[in-house]
Amino acid sequence: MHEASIVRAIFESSDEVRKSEGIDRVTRIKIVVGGMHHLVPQVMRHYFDLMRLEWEGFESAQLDMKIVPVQIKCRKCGWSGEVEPPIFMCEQCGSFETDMTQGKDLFIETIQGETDDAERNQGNAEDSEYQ
Amino acid sequence: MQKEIKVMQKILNTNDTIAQQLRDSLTQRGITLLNMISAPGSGKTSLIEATAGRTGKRLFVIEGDIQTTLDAQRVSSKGIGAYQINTGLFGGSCHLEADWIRSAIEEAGIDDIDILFVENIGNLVCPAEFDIGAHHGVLLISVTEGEDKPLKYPLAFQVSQTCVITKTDLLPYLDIDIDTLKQNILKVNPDMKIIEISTKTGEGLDRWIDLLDSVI
Repeated sequence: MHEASIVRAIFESSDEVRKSEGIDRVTRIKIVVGGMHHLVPQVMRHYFDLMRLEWEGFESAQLDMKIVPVQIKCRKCGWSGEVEPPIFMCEQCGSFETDMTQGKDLFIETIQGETDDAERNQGNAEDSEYQ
Repeated sequence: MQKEIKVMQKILNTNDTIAQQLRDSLTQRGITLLNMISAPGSGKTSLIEATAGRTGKRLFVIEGDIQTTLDAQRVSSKGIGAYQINTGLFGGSCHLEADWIRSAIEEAGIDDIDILFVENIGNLVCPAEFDIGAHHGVLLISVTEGEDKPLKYPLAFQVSQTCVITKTDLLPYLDIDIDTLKQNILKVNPDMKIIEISTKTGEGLDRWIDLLDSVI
C-alpha cells in the first residue's frame, strides 16, 4: 500500500505545476515507472481516483503509467541490454556481475490540462523548462 | 484551451531531498544512520539488543511499527535509547519516510550518539522504495525464510549494502541450502556484503560488530 504515498506525492508535485502554469483543470498525468518498482497499476489507479477528489483542479484527471524495462550492463564483457527481473544475468557471458542502467525510474513525464483564461494561453508549452 | 507541460520530475523528489539533507546533517554531527529492513520476525530487534553489549559505541533506535511500543520497550530494557514511530497514525503505513525520521530525531532529542538504527516496518516491498537518509542499508533474512526471497524481492536487496543472514542456529533443523541463498543474494546484488549470525549462540556477531566499525 505504499502506492498511496506515491500517489500523494504525484498530486503534491503536479499541483505545484498546475498552479505555476495556470492550468484550471488537469486532464491527464503521465508517469514513467521503472520495471524494478513494485507498483500495482490497479492499486495506483484506485488511490488516484480516491485522492483526485481532494485536489482542486484534478477532479477529472486520469493517470497514465508507462512501464520501462530493466536494462543492465555487464562488468565483465560490457554487454548491455534488457533483462527480466529477477534474473540480472549477462546474456552474452552469463555473469551476474552487472550494473543496472535502467529500471529504477519513477518520475512525472507530462501533465495535460485546460485553461479558461485566453491571456494565459499565449505561452508555448514546448518552451517550459522543469527540473 | 488544451496544454501539455513537460515535467520530468522525480515523483519522490520531496522525500529524496529531505533524506539527503538529513544524511548530511547527521554526517556533520558524527551520527551514522542504518536502515534495517526485513520481513516481520527476521530478528532486527534481537540483533540490535545483541549489539548493545558488544560495542562501546553509543546507540539509539527508532522503531517503526504499525502498532504497539513493544520493540521500543525491548531495546530500552537493554539500556538503549529508543523512540517508537507507530504508522497507525499515518493510516497504517507499510514503510517509513524521510520526514518522519527527521521529526522523530527532533522530538526524541537525539544527539551525542554514534549509531542510529532505524528499524523499518517489517516488509520487504514498501520500505525499499523510500530513502530515509540512511548512510548504510542492512537487510536481514532469517534461514527459515528460504533461499528464494532475494529473487522475489530484488529491489530490497539492491538498495541495501549488507545482508545479515540470521538464526543460523536453526540450520540443523531446516532443509534450506544456505549456499543457494547466498548465491541468490549475489545474483541480485553482486556488491552485497553477507554476514551469517545467530543471536542465540553469538556466532558471527563479531563480524557484525566489525562491519559497524567499518561503516561509521
